[in-house]
Amino acid sequence: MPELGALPNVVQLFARQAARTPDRIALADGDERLTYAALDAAVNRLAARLAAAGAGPGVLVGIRAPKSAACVTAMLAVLRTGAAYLPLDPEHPAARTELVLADSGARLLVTTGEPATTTLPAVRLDEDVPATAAVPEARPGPASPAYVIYTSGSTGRPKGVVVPHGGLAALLAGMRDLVGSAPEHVWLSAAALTFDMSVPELYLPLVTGGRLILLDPKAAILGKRLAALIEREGVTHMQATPSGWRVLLYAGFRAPRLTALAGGEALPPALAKDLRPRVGRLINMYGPTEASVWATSWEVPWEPDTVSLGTPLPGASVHVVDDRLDRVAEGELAIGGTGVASGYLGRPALTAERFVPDPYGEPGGRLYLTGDVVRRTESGLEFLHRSDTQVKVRGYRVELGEVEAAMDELPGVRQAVAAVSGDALVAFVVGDCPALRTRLAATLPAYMVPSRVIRLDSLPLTPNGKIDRRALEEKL
Amino acid sequence: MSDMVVVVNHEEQYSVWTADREPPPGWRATGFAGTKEECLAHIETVWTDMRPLSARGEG
Repeated sequence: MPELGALPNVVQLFARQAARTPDRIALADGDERLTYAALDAAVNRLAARLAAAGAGPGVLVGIRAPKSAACVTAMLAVLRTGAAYLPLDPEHPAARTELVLADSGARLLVTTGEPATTTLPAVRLDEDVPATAAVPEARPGPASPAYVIYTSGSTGRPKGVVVPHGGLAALLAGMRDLVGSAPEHVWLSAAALTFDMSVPELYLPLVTGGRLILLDPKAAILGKRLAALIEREGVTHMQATPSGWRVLLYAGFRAPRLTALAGGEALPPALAKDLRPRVGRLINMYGPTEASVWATSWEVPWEPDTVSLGTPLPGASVHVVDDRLDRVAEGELAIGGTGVASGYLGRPALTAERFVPDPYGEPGGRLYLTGDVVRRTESGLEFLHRSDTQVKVRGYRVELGEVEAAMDELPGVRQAVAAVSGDALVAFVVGDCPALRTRLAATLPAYMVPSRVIRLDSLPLTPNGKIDRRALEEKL
Repeated sequence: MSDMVVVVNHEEQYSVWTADREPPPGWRATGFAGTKEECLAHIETVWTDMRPLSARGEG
């Protein structure tokens, strides 16, 4: 008997869709077009190779490849074996990839061309070997992990968020409810695979008979080309960060049939106002990786004065709470419901601290404490500020503590503080460290490397001896 | 000062809860009490298999 309330998982949904519309185009990657039948067959062939190499339930498989049709095939193939996947950005420094792979306990790596940087057994994506055996049937339950995405960690160590099949299924059901689904829908996916915003845009079209257009994240910064692609491919749905939408606005884009989803960082009211008349629908999306991507949405009206986080997606619940989890008008935003992730991989104390008993939901349920301080308003929720030093840089979540810990590691650096200024990260450094940025780039992803370094003789302190971040920000 | 307790749910997931209140339905106190830091340090040692209970039989 199926578990009460369990939604079909993404693997079952895709297989059903492929059986229903085998000849429709599922995916376009540049000039390459794959039908549902062709994608399904490629997924099965690769799943058989992965299973033979050890992929299966309880196993985590790293995927390190440029965003491509082969990469999407690999994600679905890993899931089909019953394993979970860990996306790794080939643009990130090798040292960081090694750190993440070691921390994650991944047992297998899927790669393209270049020699693998680790000692893990690797399966090459660019070799299409005929399947020799059938894939053992896997039926991952709602609590089984689907993917692990690493986010910045405040103590200097990135942390892996484990998202289970139930969370992914709830996200897809919620998104389908929000924007509908039809075979005519064409989704453009422009987010990096290590950024969880990519999850709904990749899977929603593939499980609902729509078409997925893949775009390398590097190409998404070219506004005119992106606007032309949207028009040429007849894109109907696209997600981007506010910075991404701004690039399109500067390029003079207009897409009256487009449903535009903005997320990943706060949407400024002025941008919402400029963007709204250019698109058919504009929706502000909010959610942390720990709540399976999106938790709330807000339909941006014509002439918005303020921007709201809106109301929960179906399956999610949101509460504004104080430190005893009592509901208040202004406080920390806590998210409950089916989208709540399993926790942080191999980090019991950190998981127990952020994922707490949910006094308002199902028995035994958990709330994720987001660290976002919000206020209840008529239109839903208004974001006020963070309760810690997490910041957003072009949509990426960055813990300033992680950047600071990496700077502290460098010889010559006596004290270092990171801050955010507009779209840029800035470092304040006491001490002497030539080529600070180059050396940081060897261990941190590019978006975590400060674009400006300001040298100081000493750091300003507050009356109780802590570093005065506000005084530092005033120097910018 | 022991103001928090360690609690666990049906999936054998651990968390902390204020000592002066009953844990919510579906959660039970394990018997460990202490400050929040002590409770979290205890959880770091006892929560050795972080897979939800219902997903453990699979691999």
